[in-house]
Amino acid sequence: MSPNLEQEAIKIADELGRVVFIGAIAVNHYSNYRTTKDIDLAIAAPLDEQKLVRLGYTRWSESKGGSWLSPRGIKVDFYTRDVGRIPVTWILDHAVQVKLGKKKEIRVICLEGLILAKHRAGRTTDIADLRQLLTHRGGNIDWNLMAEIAEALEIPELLKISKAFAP
Amino acid sequence: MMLKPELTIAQTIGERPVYHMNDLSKITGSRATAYRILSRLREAGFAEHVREGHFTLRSSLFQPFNLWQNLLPSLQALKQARFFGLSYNENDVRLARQVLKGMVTLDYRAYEITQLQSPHLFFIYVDNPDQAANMLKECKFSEGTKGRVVIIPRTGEFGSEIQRVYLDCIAYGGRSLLDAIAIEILHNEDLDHNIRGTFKAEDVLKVREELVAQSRTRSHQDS
Repeated sequence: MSPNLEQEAIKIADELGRVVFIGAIAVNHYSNYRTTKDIDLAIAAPLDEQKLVRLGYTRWSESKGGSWLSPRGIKVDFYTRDVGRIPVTWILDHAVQVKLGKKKEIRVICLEGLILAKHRAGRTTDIADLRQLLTHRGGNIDWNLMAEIAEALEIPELLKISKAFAP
Repeated sequence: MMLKPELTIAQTIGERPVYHMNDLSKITGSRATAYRILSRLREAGFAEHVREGHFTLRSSLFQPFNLWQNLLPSLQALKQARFFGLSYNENDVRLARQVLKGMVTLDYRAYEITQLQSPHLFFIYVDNPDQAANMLKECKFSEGTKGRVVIIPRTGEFGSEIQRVYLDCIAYGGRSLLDAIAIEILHNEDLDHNIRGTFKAEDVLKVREELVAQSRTRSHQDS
């Protein structure tokens, strides 16, 4: 993860409290890879827009998806209901604590949630991320945890993909 | 090498992380044809064997057939890619830059041109891959599959650097597609108007937003 993105993640976690990083920051925690400079967050609904404004966040009117800009000008997307049909409440409950630097900690989506979200999104970049994650972390998947969120037909499919990429 | 239009049948398989021979057989109608098509795709550089009947396809396979011939030199070069690592981090890239002479492409060059995505692999075109490999080995680099320094042989046309990096990004596929879109947005006038990739609207929108956000971040930092 680039130092700037890391610093931004720490600041956002300090400002907003119980948030879980789900995009590039999560992918980079599990496997060092390429990322854009935007941040995706899971946060409990409802999104407190007044608090965001008070903290210096601004709604980005040019964005199609209702993105925000952090006080440092970084694009932030908030997910309050689900991420790839995985409920945000589940993501918050199963998030993984990650140490950044000496004292700071942030929370990222668990590996199983991230893999399923990427699999369901199925865009070219998600497929590239998924290959990267499975090549480097496929052996660490907790399939019981995966079963909590994946549909019956998705488990054998993900097992097949994961086996194909296992080192 | 000439690519035959019959290979486009593979495009109907759709983009997935990995495929099994059975997936291709269903499309081609017979196992024998599937093997023949896969063999041609591997030869071209579109397909790669993973394990036990499984293979991956580069997303460039799903580009229009009329672009394939332009992607071929990049695909052929990528097929011969050799990976090297020493510390397996950014230091390897710094050292390789000092040791090797050649044209940098993909991740690092795209980042210099667009600033869109952080780079990961250091791809560099060299005239003599064996010589370049020996130079790296003299600096204690090991050759393997996980290194971040990647040497690729100069193959095909290098008249316009931007054009070549653009085609390399499309050929490599995956996240590099976003780099190709950014190059097209930022350096449209430097690209051949007859040789263009086809991109999904949602990817183009994402790149546009990222580039705008980036310029805002920069102006934010300047103020």
